Order: sequence, then structure tokens, then C-alpha cells
Amino acid sequence: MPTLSIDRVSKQYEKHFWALRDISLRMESGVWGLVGPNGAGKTTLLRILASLLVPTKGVVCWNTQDIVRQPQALRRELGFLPQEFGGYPRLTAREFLSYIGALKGVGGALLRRRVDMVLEMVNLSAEASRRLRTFSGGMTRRLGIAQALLNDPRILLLDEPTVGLDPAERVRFRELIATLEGERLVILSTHIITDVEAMATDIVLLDRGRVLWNGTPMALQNDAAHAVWEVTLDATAFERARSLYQVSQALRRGNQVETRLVTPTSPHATAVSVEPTLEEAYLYMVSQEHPVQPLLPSP
Amino acid sequence: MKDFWTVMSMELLLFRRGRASWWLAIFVIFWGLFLVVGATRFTAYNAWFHFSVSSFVLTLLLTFLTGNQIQRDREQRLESVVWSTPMATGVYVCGKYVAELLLVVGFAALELVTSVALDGFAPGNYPPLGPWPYLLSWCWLVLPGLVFGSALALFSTTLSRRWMVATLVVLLIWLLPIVLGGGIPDVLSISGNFLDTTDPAQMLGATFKSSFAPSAAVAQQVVHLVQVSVPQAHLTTTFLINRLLFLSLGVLLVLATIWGFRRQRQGN
Repeated sequence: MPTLSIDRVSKQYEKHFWALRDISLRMESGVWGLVGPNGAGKTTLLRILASLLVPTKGVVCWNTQDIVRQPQALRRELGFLPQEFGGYPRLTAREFLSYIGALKGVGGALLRRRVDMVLEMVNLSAEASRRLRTFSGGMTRRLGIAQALLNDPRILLLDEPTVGLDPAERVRFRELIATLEGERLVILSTHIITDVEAMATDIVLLDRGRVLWNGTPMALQNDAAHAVWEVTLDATAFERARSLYQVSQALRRGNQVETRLVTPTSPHATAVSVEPTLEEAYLYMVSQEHPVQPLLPSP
Repeated sequence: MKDFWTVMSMELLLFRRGRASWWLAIFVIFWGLFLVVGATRFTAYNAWFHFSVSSFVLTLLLTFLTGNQIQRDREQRLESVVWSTPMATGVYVCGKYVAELLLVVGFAALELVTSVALDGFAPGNYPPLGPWPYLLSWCWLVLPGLVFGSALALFSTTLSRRWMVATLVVLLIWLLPIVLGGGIPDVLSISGNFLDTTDPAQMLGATFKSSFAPSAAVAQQVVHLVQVSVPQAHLTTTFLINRLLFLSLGVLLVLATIWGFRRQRQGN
């Protein structure tokens, strides 16, 4: 079973800035959602796992092999989609994928088959002979997903994979991840909780460089049980509630606002406790670290 | 070895798809033409000087074309994908370097072929010199310059992450010996010893410099001297050490690029 063990990993960029602090995780096959606010350290962690960054402290092992001392063992089995991805504009999609595939050690007839296969997976078969300079942002993103899959990786690191994809392609991507065969570890860093909800078997919630929470999506929702409230308020009361609590949803109906508030205590006499969605559970966990600041009173 | 060919052939393909290749080919053809019509067949006794100046300009220009191979992967936001593959760092750097070296040597060879071809029938004050003075001078003057220049440009662009830095470094190394005149030893000058006027053809030419149209007998004598003494007469110990120095520096710079790039690949 593919295993990635992260042991007390820290990364310091500047003298007083630690992007990661004492991260310890053991990740086995499945789809792991890496979530957290901006600046939580998700991309730094993914770059360390992709052997593109050396941790300041700690050890990362892929199947017992230290990825700093022996990066090749990991790289042979790695598929990586970085947050920022481009390509050579003068190449066609097929030429580009053939190049990356060859660098990954795939060759000959197998490479040709894999290129066709991944193009089909990301719905780019019809565009295989087009130069990359003519690709839209969404198509380039799909090409990025395709190149990550070329070597049939046992460890797949995807940083914000669905950014720029239209809704249909996003659904297609979720299906693609769900249907990947064999035992493999997929780590998905994203801000889009619905993506995690649809795909992840485990969640790691990072905040300010630390692991804030780790477990299954259901466990995250269970931990946020009784922390989400539904209430209908008039506009004035809603504004006041908004300044005090984390709002996860608000629907205006005339002068009334149907809202869901994330707070461990009942926000209003008429509020009813409801089952949290995964997004609300995430907001609850993060808000425990970052209490909502009251808004300034309106003039 | 397979990765080396993959990286190298991709570099060649990317260059071929660019527009610069055609303009550059046209330029070097004209440069070869100018060398013959405007220089060697016009004042043949100064052939070594003409070869040296021509090589100096050609190596400087071609060096500017190189160096961006690794930095371009960063600019195209490809570095994370390419650098996280199992490809060895040394293979990647060498593949990029050798591809660019082949390209610039190829363009320089086009200039050489143009010169040799035109030498046979272009009009001039002197008869054709034949291919050997062109070929041998090209080997001694152009090849070491390109080996060193390509490595220097790759090293400085990759490690500084700015093409402009490489431009300044190359300009400094090429132009400083000229700006300082005799203030820098010949052994440290990238252009070798193009002010060396000790070959028999040049010494004979010094006696009739004002004459643009020598008699047929004198012209034949000058060409004969060029054929037997250029570049042989200029292969002094200092010149040979100079060539060896720049070739060695080229190799060292490639090794230094591998070392520096290995650190960059780990996020340093």
C-alpha cells in the first residue's frame, strides 16, 4: 500500500516566518483533501511532497524512503499539477504530453497509448493537434491534469486542480478522480469544499502552517454538529447577527432573511440547530482559530 | 541517455518553431558574404585579422541567443512539472546546453560554408584563398568562443534567473579587452590575439598597404603565404593557453550550472 509519512515537518522562509510548523501525518491510499485558508501552507506542503522544496526540519518518507535523500524513488511514481501551470506555446498538446511523458520515463508505444488515454480522460482528444498558445485557461488546466496522469502515478498531487474549469468539466474531473483504478494516494489542495466533499476520503485542515484538524469528511461534520443554526431574521437583526457570527448562507425574501449561522451557541431564541454541511463544518473549525471580528457599525 | 536526447531534441524543436531562426540564418549568410567580399578577398594579407574580427562579432551575437533554456521553463510555468520528474539534473542541464551549442555552432557553420563557397567565385583584389584558412581559423576562433559563451550565458541566466544579467556579463567579457586595449593580457581575451600581425602575409602586406590592386604575382604570393601560415603562424603558446582556458572555463561553467540548478531544484 502506498504510504507517505510526514514527520514533524517545518518550513521556514524568512527568519521569523514559518510557512509550516511541525506537520505530522501518515497518508495511505485514498483521496486526501488538503484545505485551509489562504496562507495556511497548503502549496508549501505540496511542493515539499513533490520534492521541489526541502523542509527546514523534519522528514518525509515515501514508502519508507526519505524523499530529500532519495527523491528519484518518489519522482518515478509521482504525478504533480502545480498551482501555476503553463506549457510551451509553440507545441501541440500531443507533443507537449509526449515530452513530459518521456521525461517521466514512459516511452515508445506505451507513451503513445498513455497520451491518447489522458487526452481522452480530460476531454482534449479533439484538440490534440492544436498549439498550446491557442488554448484557453480551462483547457490549459485540463492539460495540466492530463500530464499529471501520464505515468499512471501512485502518488498524485493536485494543487487547485479545478480552478478555471467550467461546471461540466469540474464534474468530469470529480468523476475522473473517483474512477482512478488501483491503490494510489491522491492529495488534492483546494479552496473549493464541494470538490473535497465529492472526492475526498480524508481531510487535512491546515491553518497558519499547522494541522488544525485531520479525519474523514463525516467526522468533520460530526465535530461541527450543533454548531450550525438556521434562523429567519428581519434585515436589521440579520445585520447585527452578521457582525457577531459566521454566516454560511443567507437568502433574502422581502424584508426577511433566511440564514444559517455557524456558532457553538444558539444565536437567537428562534434559531434551530441543523446538520452542518462540510463547508459549514470547515467554517466552524477555522472560525475557532479566527473568531469573527464584529463589523463596524453602519453610519 | 534517453532523457538527454529527449531534452535536447525538444530544445531543437522549440527553436525550429521560432521565427528567430530564419532571420538569424539570413544574417549569418550575409556575414559570411561580407567576410569574403569586403575583407578576405579585398585585403587578403590581413586574413587573420579579418577572421578574428568576424569570429568575435559572430560569437558575441550567437552567445546572446543562448542561456535562456532553463529560465524559459520557469517563465512558461513549467518548472514544477519538469523538475518533479525523475530526470537527472545533470542530464537536463547538459541536454539544454548541448542543444543550444549545436544550434549556435550550426549557424556559425552556415557562415563558414557561405564564406568558403563564395571564396571560389566572388570578385576581389586577390585570388581565392581556398577552404583551409577559413576552416582552420573558424575552428580555432569560433568554436572555443561558442563553447565558452553558451556555458557562460546558461550559467548566468540560470543562477541569476535574469537574462539581462547574462547579457551584461557577456558584454563585459567580450568588450572589456577592447575597451582596456593592452591593459589585459592576451591570454585572458576571448578574441584571442587578433591584433597579432606576425604572420608572413601580414608582414608582406605592410609593405604595400596603400595599394588596393596588387599585381597578379604579388597577389598570388600573398595568397600562398596565407594558405601556409594562417592560422599556423598565430598558434603561439599564449594563444593555445588562451583557447584551452576558455574551453576549460566552458566545461567548468556547465558543471557549476548543474550544481547551482540542483540547489534550485530543491527550492533554494
